Formats: sequence, structure tokens, C-alpha cells
Amino acid sequence: MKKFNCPSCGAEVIFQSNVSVYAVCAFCSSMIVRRDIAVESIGTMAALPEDMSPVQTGTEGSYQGARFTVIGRMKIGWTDGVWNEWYTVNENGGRGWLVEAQGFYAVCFEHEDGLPPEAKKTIDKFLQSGKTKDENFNRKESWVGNLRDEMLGSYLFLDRLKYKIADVKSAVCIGSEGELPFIAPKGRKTLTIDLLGHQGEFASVEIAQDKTRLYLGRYLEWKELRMQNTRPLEGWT
Amino acid sequence: MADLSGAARSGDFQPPVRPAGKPKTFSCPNCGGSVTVKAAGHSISAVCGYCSSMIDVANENFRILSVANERTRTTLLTIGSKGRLAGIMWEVAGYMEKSDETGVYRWDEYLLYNPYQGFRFLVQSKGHWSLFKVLKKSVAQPSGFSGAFKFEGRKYERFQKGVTKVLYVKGEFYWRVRKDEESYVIDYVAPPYMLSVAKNDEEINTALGEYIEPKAVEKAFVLTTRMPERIGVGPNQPGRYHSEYVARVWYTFAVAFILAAFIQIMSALTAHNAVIFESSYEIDAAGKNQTVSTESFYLPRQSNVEISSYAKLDNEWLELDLALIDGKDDTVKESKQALEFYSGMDYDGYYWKEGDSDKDSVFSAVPEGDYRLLIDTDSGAYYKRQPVTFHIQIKRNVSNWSNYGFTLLLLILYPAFVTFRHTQIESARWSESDFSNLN
Repeated sequence: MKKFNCPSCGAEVIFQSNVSVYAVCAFCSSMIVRRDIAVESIGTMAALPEDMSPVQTGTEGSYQGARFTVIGRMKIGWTDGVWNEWYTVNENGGRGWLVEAQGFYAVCFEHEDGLPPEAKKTIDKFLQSGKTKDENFNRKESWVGNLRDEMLGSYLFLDRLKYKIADVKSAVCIGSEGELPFIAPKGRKTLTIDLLGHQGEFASVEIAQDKTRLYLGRYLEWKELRMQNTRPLEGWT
Repeated sequence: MADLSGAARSGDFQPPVRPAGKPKTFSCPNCGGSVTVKAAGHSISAVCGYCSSMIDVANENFRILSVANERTRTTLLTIGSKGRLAGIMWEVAGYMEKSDETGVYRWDEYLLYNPYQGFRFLVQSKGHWSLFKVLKKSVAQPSGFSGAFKFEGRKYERFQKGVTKVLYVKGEFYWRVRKDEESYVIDYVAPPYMLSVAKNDEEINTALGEYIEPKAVEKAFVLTTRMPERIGVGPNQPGRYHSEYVARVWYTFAVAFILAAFIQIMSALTAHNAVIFESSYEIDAAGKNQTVSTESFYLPRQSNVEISSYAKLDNEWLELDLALIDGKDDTVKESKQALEFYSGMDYDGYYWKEGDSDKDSVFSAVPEGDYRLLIDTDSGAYYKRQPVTFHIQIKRNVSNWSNYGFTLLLLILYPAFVTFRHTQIESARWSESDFSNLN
């Protein structure tokens, strides 16, 4: 855990995870980037669109016997809606994500080894390799639609398991709060491929401008997450 | 002390109060009426409750997607009402009326919402209700002719398939709901469960449903309107006489059968079949009004007693009224034995015979002691003024096969009934299926 003072308002900003490089000041919404021992502000984050999520920064939950705490969030938008990606740190220092979309919850972790070469080859074929990666983010929605039609139902082998491609979306960060392991300003674009395993396993390939990341985890029921310090919800006490 | 400055300063700041999550309310861009989005952050389409316009609520622009050409309908479950099903409180967020391709066969789908648990679909068709949950699992589609497959330990059978159409929508949805939108659906059943695989332009969705008793829905949402009458057997309607139950009953029968056979064989093997009395009697024509008494015989321990009679009859009948009398002259058991034997030659020279010239009766659990047998006789011979000769043999501890047969008959009654009911219910269920083996 590291403490800094917000360069904009002077309030205490805590980086709970030593890999967090970015945080939004809870007091003044300044976007703070950590560089070695110093912090700098890169602007102000606009208010996130309201939702009925029962999760908030500080919410605690369980995954495979370890308690985790939510320390940050990205709100992601696509043509047909929004979802939340909550950044978590567990009691062993493990950092992961709680993805909350359409009322489903998945806990996942970035796969250290990245995308396996075979899976990368399959995806690149779909993406018509040869074109620069950058183009994938500025393509029209119709291009993503075509890509989705082609990819849906295909299988990828990830970490010795067979996953089915369930969704392909062009996603954009529409806001963030708390601390995050990368700089997530409004407008950060990714191409995300969501996959399902036979036993409720969840995988997501996130192709961002800086790098392609693979996340592996699983879908969980609300009660399995054993959440505490949830957000109060009007009409649902 | 210098180090304290930062901490001290931050102590002066109170973190901003974080507001509770609440439904989002806005004015309908068409009629200005107030529209509330219950599943804020999830819902992207909402229908105005006043003017029925379809509004895009994916962002703050609230664009009108279509202006309604139909008045708002009342639905059995009201949008916004809450009810507890399977232990979870649900709010009715949306309603869709759907139909098959022809538009003739229609059903209701309610979208239920709980901010913690997500969404479910409550489906009502022909008075049968099921609660569906979308599965986040890659479900292996069955292949081959049978269309049956195993999922999470249950065998699902293909029940129906076809195009489904959205006829009417109300409330809010987490996808772009469209009137007339079509999907291709295949339903598989393993009562009380149903797997519904729906395919549209964008995705393949598998949902797992479970049958819900109409009363549970009525109670949960405190409905005062009449519930739709249940018609026929629902595709996933469970019953007392389901396959597993039938199998279990037959299994129990098999165990009982083996046990009964074992007991029967053991008793046959250990039976003494000891003769405790034997004698022949000749009674003349005047014997009609006489009672014959056997000599006293001794039964050494409590056991069953078999009395067999035999008479050499030639186109004649003989009726014996038997009474077993104990040492105190009390009648312990009674029995009637009718012997008859007829034979002859047909016109075409064919020899025929009918009747039995021997009979036996078994008295069970006769106590130890001295006994006599009293015999009253009647016979056709008497009326021809002829005598009658018969032979009596009394045995104890015999193996009794008729009891065994009777036991088996009783044992098989229930399995037979259960199988009958099962067949009846299944044929009613599958008469509605596209894949029936029964018609």
C-alpha cells in the first residue's frame, strides 16, 4: 500500500496495490498517474453514468476461498449497453477483475503467459492479419458485426481447456473510478472476445492498443460471491 | 512531525457521500410522460407506459426507436410488481407476448429483475409456468436422430422446435427488443426441467427452465385476476409417475419378487410334508345324511395342514364339507371340496374329459393338538342309489404355492398401475411434441 496526496486537491490517495498505476481521486475526480515515486494529474474524470449495481469500491467478496476487495472500476460501453469491470485485490495480494454484465458475474485474472500462439493465430485469421492492429479500433460497427458473425460459435483452446466464442464487441471505456493497473481514461478502446467453457468457465481476450490481454476465470452466482459492504439500493433493502 | 502534514490534511477531507443506487427516471421524448428504468445500467430498451413508444435507454440521449401503433395492454403480472419465487424477490421488468410462426399458438414471457441476482424469464403457456435462467455455459448440442442428450446428469429429450416471434412488448429489456423479431428455438425436456436453445442473428442463448406450480406464481405476485387454466400436460410438468419413479417401483418389485421367491424356496425346501393321517371311506347311498368322523390324529406343533381328497369318479360328482375339530369339539377350520369327473367320446371319435377327481385345501397356522375331521358328503351317486368311495390324506407343514402366487399378484398390482399412469401422462405430454414417438 502506498499513500500520495492528490496533486490537484491534496487529499490522500491510497494505492492499495503496488501494480496500480492509475487512480481517480475520490474527492475531486482527478485522474492521477503514478510514475515511480511521484504522481501527476492528467485531467478530471467525468461522473459515471448511474446504475443499479450492488457493487462499489470497498465491496468485499470471495473467490475460491480467498477474500477480495474491490478497489476500482471501469465502466465499459458498447453499441448495445454498458457493463462494469471491477478491479479487485485479494488477501494474498492477487489482483483480478469482477466483471458485471447483464446481471451476470464473472471473476477473472489476467493470464500471465498471454494468449497461446494457436489461439492467437486463429484470432489473427479472423482479424485478417496483415492489417495494422490500430485499424481494429477505428472500424465501423458493421465491421465488428461481421467479425462477430464469423467468430461466434468457434472454439479456442486456452490453458488446456476448450472455450466457445460467445460474444465479440468493440468496447470503449466511458469512465473509471478508484485505482486501476493501467491508465483508463474515457475513450480507451478495446476489441473484446468473450468465451465460455463447458463448466461455466469464463475467458476474455481484450485487444487494446498497447497490448492483447487474456483473462481467465469463471461465472459465479451472486450468493457464491458472499459479498459484503455492498452498495445500498433504493427499494431493495 | 513533518510527516503528519499529509495525514492531518487528508483527515480534514470527508469523502464525498456516495448515493444509493436507484432506478433512473426520465421524460418520454414522445409524450413527456415519466418513464422509470428499474434495471438502470442493464436496460437498453424501454417502452413508455403512457404512449407505448419504444425508447433507446442505452445512453442519456433517450432516442425514440418507434412510436406505438397499439394501446397499452394489461398483463396478468403488472410491470413493477414484486414477488418471491424460489426464495428470491423479483420485480417484473418486462413483458413479451410471443407466438409460433403462424401466430396462432401464443404465450407470455415476463422478464424478472433483481439487482443482485440479475434476470430470469417467467414463461406462461397454456396455464403452465416455468422460470428460466440464461446459462453462461457452452452447452454441447445434441446430434443424431434421437435428439436426446445429457446435461448435468439429466437426460433431455427434444420436445419442440420452430420459429418464435415477438408480438407485443411492454416494460424494459437489457437487449434491443423488437416487435416481430424472430428466433429459432429448440426445446428439450427432462421434467421438471427444460432447456431452451434460441438462435437469432446475433447470438445463441441457452436457458434452463424449471416448472413452477401456477399456485406459486399466484401467491408470489398476489394475483387477484383469474389464472389461465392449465391445459393438458406441460412439456416439463413433473408428476408423481415420472420415469425415475416408475423405474424405482419396478426395482422395488424386483427386490420383493426375489425375496418372496427366496422365502418360498426356503419354505419348500424345509417343508416336512409329513402325513399325519390317511384313510379311505366307502359310503352307501344312505350316507347322504350321515356325517363321517375320522379317527383322532395329532399335530405335533403349530403348522399349516393340508387336506387332500381323492375319489375315483366316473361321470360323477362328489361334494365334501370338511370341518377340522379340535380336542374340545370346537370347529377350527372349515372347507368345501367339490370333485367331479366327466369323460366321453365325441361324434367324431374324439375323447374328452373334464373336472378334477382330486382336491386339496390348506389351513394355515393350526395350533398343536389332537384333531378330528368331520365330513359331510353329497354326490350324484346317491341319487342313483350307488355308493361312493373316497380317500382322505392329511399332511402338515406343506409348502404352499398358492399363497406365493397370490403374493406375486398383489406385488405386481402397484407397478402395473404406475406404468399405466406413466404411459397415460407421457402420451398426453408428447401429443404436443414435434418429436413424438407415440403418434
